[in-house]
Amino acid sequence: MFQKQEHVEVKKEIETVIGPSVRVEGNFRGDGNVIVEGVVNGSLKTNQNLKVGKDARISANVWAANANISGEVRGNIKIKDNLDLTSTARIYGDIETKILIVAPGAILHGKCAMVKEVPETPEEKEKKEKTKQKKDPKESVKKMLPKI
Amino acid sequence: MYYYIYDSFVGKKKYERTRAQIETRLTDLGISGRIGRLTILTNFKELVKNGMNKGAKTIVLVGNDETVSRALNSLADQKVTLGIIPIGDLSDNKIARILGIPPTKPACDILANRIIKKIDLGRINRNYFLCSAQLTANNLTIECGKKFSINALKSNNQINIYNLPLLAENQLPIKNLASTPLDGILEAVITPRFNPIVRLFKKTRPQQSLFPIKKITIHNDKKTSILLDGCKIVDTPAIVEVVPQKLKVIVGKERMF
Repeated sequence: MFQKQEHVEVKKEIETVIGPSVRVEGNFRGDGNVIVEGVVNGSLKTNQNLKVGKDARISANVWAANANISGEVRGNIKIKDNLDLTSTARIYGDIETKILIVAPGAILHGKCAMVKEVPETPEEKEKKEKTKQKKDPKESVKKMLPKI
Repeated sequence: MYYYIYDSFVGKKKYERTRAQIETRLTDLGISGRIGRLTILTNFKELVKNGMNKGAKTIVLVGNDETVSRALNSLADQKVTLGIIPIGDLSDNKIARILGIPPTKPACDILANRIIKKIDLGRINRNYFLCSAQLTANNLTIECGKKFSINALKSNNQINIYNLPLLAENQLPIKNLASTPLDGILEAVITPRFNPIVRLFKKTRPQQSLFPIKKITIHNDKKTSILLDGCKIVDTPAIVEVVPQKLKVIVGKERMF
């Protein structure tokens, strides 16, 4: 008889879902999480998380903060933090990410970069210093003299 | 000052007692005002103009979802606040439910509290809608400015564009289709329509696509009708856009946003 009206507040996260019945062409830019189950041609960019389903086909360069890929991507992938390639992932392009997880069965055909600069070995460091000394002998003498 | 516009169905004998209760309550709360009745000879545009000429700052619609939808074009571009007193079944008053306005007499107390929110409206080819727009089409193309386009791979698709949250049968919002009228965004949902006989043999449900949009253009091979808020009809090609914070509405504490 007495029906309490429930106070239901709808909280929202912006999310885009590209379903299996849809094809997106052009430069797609999403503000929130993006889930791809269909076809994307062009470029795909988001500030947040990207999930690519196992039947999805992307022919585009991809940028995202984190990504979980189970489908096909033909293009370069740049991920800010974590890139997770599941067993059905097929990547034909270069990838750049901080943390990479590759499941058995995933296909990756391209270059893989995980740091911006390749760190030097101790031998290379020494060689560099010697070349510097040869170029500027005064500097090397100054270094040898004790500080007063 | 308040101006009350009664829809034509509210004048029936069935609602006589409800009308009396509402009018008594409004008088008790000190917010009674002039009344305009929608008839064959009057329309919303004239009634709203009439109310504004008499100094009304708040126009209150006494009716259901269809009343609100038909009055929207007349109200959207005016500097008035909209109030609603819902009359009839719950299924005919989903907009009021989402805005947190209970039916009949308790709605008067909501009016008296005057919690006002500036909400977004959707607009399709100069026609405003508050809740949703719907069309069914083959070979559809949706263009999002010059950036990208969306094409449906299957032939028969239903497209729904939401400004308010979608309610399920239990009158609660559907989680995945949570839309709020305060965010400056509309949600476009594309659902492929399957042959019901084929669906019997396939266990999987048709998968929807969801796009948050601000402005899109819908093209189709043939002229297709778009249904706004369940009662107005507009044809393609159509430019669909959100008009942020367009309308001031009196809402209740139990609103869904």
